[in-house]
Amino acid sequence: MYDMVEDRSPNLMRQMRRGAIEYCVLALLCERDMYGFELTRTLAAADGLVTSEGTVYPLLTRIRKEGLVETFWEDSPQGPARRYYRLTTEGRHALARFVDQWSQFRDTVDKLLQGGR
Amino acid sequence: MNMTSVDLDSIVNTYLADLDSALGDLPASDRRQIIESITSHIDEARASNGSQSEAALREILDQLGDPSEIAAAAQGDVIGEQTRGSRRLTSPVAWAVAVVAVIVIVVLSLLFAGTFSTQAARYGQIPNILGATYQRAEVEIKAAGFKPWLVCQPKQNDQIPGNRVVMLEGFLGESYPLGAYVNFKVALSPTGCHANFHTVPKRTPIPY
Repeated sequence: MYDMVEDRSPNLMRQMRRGAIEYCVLALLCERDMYGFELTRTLAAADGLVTSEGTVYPLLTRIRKEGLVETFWEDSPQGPARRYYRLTTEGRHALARFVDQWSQFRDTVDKLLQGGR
Repeated sequence: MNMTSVDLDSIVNTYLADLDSALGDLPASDRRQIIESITSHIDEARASNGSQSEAALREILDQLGDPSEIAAAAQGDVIGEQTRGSRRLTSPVAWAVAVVAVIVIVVLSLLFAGTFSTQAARYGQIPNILGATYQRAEVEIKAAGFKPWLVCQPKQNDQIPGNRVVMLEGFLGESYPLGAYVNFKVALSPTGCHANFHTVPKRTPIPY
């Protein structure tokens, strides 16, 4: 019976990732400033969040243009200087709004899913 | 077959050239920043990997993803940005409509505020911030509609996790008036509790 139902999970995961990943980046930067490689490796280590590490960089470019993060250069103990990302006040507010909306959304969906069992 | 560092660099250069070509439609400044970031990523990954083998390098590039995939993500972000940008008001008529709408909303809000000013205060639940860093705790408390009040407690021993919330005033799951102070304690090294932190709880605590 299950074979007859189309598996929509890859597309669903892609859409959920797309909506949430920006805020996962902001949440990581809320803890401390991070450089690109460190940030992408941390996201890639979180199961299912990033399919390709390279796709994080366009996102970082966009949220920087939107003023949610800012960057600065710092010397590296080995190799060339690193571009660090830092959360701005606007980014902090965007994260706080998302945390609020996400909690409400998650609770609503959880409630409906549990009721549907 | 062992490859020289020149051969390995040429693999990287080919990858970056493919990426640059795939990003062709993006604004030059975006393209430059993405290429620069990916180049740094490859350098960092090669340095942290320690291996100078071709297989290790190809593994790094595989994890980064195909240039077309990165370009698709970049174009998706640019399209999203343009869609958001297109919502900006450009015509004078649109501006006039927006100004009138704002005035109507403000007037209605004032009327309703007067009518319902005796309504009960709104309540909310304190988020579970135990174990979180104090920066994260502050964000979550504000997002839940409360005011954070951080009390710093010097660490007594190494068993206590540093820079983490170890105590929270209030009961999780219970409702409290929004806007109230939430006291929480974080353990830092004795010198970490500097002047920016509070040393005593706020004396207008949430009513129990």
